[in-house]
Amino acid sequence: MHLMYFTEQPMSDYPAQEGLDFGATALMFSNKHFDPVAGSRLYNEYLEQYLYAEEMGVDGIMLNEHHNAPFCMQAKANIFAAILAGMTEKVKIVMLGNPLPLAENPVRLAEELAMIDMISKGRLVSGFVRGGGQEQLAAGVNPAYNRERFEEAHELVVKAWTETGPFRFEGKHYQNRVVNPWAVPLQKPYPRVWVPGVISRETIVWAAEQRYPYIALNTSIADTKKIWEVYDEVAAGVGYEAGPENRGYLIQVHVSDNEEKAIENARQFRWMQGEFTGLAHPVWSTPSGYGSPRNRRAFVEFAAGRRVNPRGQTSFEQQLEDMRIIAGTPDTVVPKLRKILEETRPGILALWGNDGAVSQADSMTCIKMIGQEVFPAIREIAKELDLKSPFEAEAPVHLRYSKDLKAPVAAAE
Amino acid sequence: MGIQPPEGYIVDQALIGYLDYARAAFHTDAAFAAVWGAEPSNDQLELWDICREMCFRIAWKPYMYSQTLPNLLQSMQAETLVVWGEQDRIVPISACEAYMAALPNARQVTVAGCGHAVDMEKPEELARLVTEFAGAA
Repeated sequence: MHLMYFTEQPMSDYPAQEGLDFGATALMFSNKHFDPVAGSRLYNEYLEQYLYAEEMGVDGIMLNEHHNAPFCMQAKANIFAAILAGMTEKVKIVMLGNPLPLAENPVRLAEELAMIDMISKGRLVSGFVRGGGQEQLAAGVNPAYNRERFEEAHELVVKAWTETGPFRFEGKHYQNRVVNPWAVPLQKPYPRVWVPGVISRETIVWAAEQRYPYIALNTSIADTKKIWEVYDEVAAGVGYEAGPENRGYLIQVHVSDNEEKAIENARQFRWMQGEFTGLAHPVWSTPSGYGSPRNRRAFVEFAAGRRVNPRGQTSFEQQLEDMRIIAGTPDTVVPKLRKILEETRPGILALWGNDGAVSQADSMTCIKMIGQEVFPAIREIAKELDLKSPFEAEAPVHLRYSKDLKAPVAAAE
Repeated sequence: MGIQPPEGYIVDQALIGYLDYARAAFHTDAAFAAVWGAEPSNDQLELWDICREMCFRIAWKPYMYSQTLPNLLQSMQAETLVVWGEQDRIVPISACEAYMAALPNARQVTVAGCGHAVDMEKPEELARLVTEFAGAA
């Protein structure tokens, strides 16, 4: 079991009423409300959290990035990854992940990641994401070609990591005259790639085809099981049996030394008016051409205010009930996590410990209890349930490096 | 793909809802409703989403204009009619002026009481203008 700490790095110190008055807290919500003095303090507090998480015994630190919004301060996850590469000793630096379509030059991204891998002495896990709809608009990247750019950028990054240069790359979206980076990863054949996601069936299928672990982001137990059904079916189709080493799960868990404080702090998971990415116009989060065609009708109706959000919107109490948010002392949190492990059987688990305006002191208490009380218990449960991480299972980095492929089901039939 | 307005910007449909964008193509909401009804159907919204996706595919960056078009227009020898809605809320009138500056042999007609979608808002007047222009050419 690989156990990670995660925070969205919220820019909690902004005038929330201004966002409510404007009607949005994303993309077009003016950065005149961003206070760099508070930003400087918060960045350093988050760095302090990560270093403490390593000290408390977590296996990995999960990083991500978003743009133009207070719910996440990381505008470039590689910057924190580079800092942690130099300042930490043992933890895996887990990018979940770099938004590939936003890269105008994926070779430069390959170079950055190779540098992080070398500086950290081989501790990089290089997750890739499509990036949310608003990220495309913030970066000026065409949402209608999001998936094409994702797959082509991935191809180019992996080539830059694994093939000897110089070579030329002529793709549909990326053309590079000379690919010959003088920075390549320490890990061979290349750093592990994990793929996080929430809703897109196409991404689950793609991850399974690559044999990349899929990290379900705070999905319900029922939805997580559906994700694994899709993943397992695709895996069997390309010739391998998926297991816990292919499955990751991120869940919002706040741990405290008393139940009441834990519940109160856990309410901060809903700090962006209930939608963790903040208030936004639906056409920002799902620009035309970005989503799956099968979801087009539902999002169009939602955007016009004619139906509820297809991504779902549930109350804090309901999320506690569904165990999409868990809060409490280690004694009450561990049994709930055990239930999730039994039901969904992941080999990778990330706890999203703190959000919103949870104080630095309470965040550090949470990290301490996660690292010293919750994770040791989870490790024992994982042994009992035989939930191995990709590292423990020595899983191949990609399908092409598999030595255990069976005849693909489709071919056998 | 049009010409870049020297002043102002072409309205970015990526940032506003389907109905708001469609309404902005008319000079008033009443003019929009006369063509589409006050509340277009969900089928219509879905078609607009498909149209929007296609606009993104072909005209995302630069958005809705061609940087080479002004140069190409200078070689246009044929007589040209440039029709513009006087209350166009999608493309600034400065783009119309840029067309007139680039086209060597062009005539401008501004349609009063009309927005961007001249063809839908004033179809008969547009037909008359085109017919007269074609007849005179």
